[in-house]
Amino acid sequence: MKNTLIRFSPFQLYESTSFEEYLSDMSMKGWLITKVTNAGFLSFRREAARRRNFSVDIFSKAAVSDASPEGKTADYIELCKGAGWEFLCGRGKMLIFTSADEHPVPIQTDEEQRRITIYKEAWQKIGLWTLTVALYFVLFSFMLGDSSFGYSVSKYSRISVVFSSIFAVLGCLQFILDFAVFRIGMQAKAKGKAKAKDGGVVEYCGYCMRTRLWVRRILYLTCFVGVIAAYLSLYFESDIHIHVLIKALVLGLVLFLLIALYLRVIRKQVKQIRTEFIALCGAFLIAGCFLMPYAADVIKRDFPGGDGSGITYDTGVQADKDAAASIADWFEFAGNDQQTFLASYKTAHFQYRDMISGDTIGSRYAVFSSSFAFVLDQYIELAQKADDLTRDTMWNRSWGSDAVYVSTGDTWTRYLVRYEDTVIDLQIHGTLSEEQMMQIRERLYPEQV
Amino acid sequence: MAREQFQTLSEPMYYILLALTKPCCGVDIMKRVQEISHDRVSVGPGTLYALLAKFESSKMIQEIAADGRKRTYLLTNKGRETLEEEYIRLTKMADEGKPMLSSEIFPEVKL
Repeated sequence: MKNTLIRFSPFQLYESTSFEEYLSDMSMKGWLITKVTNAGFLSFRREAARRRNFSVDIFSKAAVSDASPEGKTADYIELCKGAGWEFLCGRGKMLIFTSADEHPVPIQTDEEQRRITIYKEAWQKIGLWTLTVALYFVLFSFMLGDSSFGYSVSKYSRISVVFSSIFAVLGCLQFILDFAVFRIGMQAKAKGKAKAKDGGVVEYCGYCMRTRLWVRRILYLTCFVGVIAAYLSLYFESDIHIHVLIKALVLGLVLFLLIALYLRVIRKQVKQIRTEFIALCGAFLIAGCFLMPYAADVIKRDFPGGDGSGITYDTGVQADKDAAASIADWFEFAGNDQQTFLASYKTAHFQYRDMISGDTIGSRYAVFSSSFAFVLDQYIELAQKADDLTRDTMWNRSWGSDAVYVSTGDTWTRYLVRYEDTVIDLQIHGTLSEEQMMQIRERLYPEQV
Repeated sequence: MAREQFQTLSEPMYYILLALTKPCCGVDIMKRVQEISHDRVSVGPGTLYALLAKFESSKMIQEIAADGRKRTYLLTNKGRETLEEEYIRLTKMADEGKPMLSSEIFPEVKL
């Protein structure tokens, strides 16, 4: 026969009476509660079946949730002990007592004050939940809607938004359902419809409890799937580099350690760290996700030639725009002054001189470090020239590249050339001949020629 | 007009202040309240804790001794004045109600 039982508790703070009845019912079956976790799981131990009186009390000044309360909570427990109430366990501000007396004096004899305290704590919890959800939606709306944010997450990460929305809706539904059940139960009691079992235990609504438990199971499963989907999509589908993810996770770990340090040194709640380890790990993962934009911005600034404003990887410096320079001159400049090149963060600007005709063609190019598909999406979105995109066969022959797209503006011709693992965005006046394309290739990738 | 705090006392408040006319600690306060009220009024430890905190912050009682977690309280002058005012108020209410509830009007009421 097992001596430990784990059950999931759907009771809210304002359902302390139902919770007491449930505990009394369990004690008559030979189970005594020993622990309440933050996730709402109840731990019972085996004992001789007998009827016990329980009191689920809300102590507003409680600041600990483990089995060794300190300070004012310990004083309060000591006072209750003097009145015949033995402290069993607690979670947050909820303290659970039991009394061996047949008719003990209730811990709270002022019913009105008790109701005020419970409702106040319940509404604070609801308010915190609502604030968290609102903050969450604001953050995601900002990330997905603001094009100046610097980068955009993968389109597939919208799956995480869907799951997160379901999670938020189910969370609100859970609160509404719980409160509705509570109100219905109160009205049933007031009208005398509640049934009484042996020993005076009033039957709580078993059907509603099963429904509420299922809502919670779906809620947690949705949350779990949503978080996994978010991380998988960010890793496989977005243009964020792996070291950006690592940096975000490191920042999350730092946040986790700061929380642990605060709890250990300032609050001296060693046991709380152990018992809430799972919740802290969840906070660490969520923090890593939220801190990713910051990490991405930091990593972009560290890129050689990165302009710090987007995913462009620039390899040149702003040359004197009035000086007629050839590609050879530009490359010489970049080659001789690497320090300036690295610190400049300017888009390359050079002029290509056709050595045969003598015409000068102003050009600008940038080399992207991101995936080609992402760059193309950015180009379509920013340039809004999706209708002008066509495949250029000449670039294919000259460079042997896999995909080339061309956009023709009023005075500029723009090429997006994917060559091996880089993408070049080349904007030039007029058009380039096949020979000129080969010369550019030789300059950019001399080792490949 | 809104009622000020402690302008009128509830039964638990009244009896707790009565109990603290002599030095008394937490558990003993609960017992004294039952004795004074002849078991008519009971104060739970939770209610007592909250009221003691309110009385102490309003300077109606003061802690005169502390032995570990056991704290002893006593009424202050302000607390005594409040208690006396409440007693006078209750007495007036009883006196004003007595002729209205006389045996001629309510024969079943025995005053």
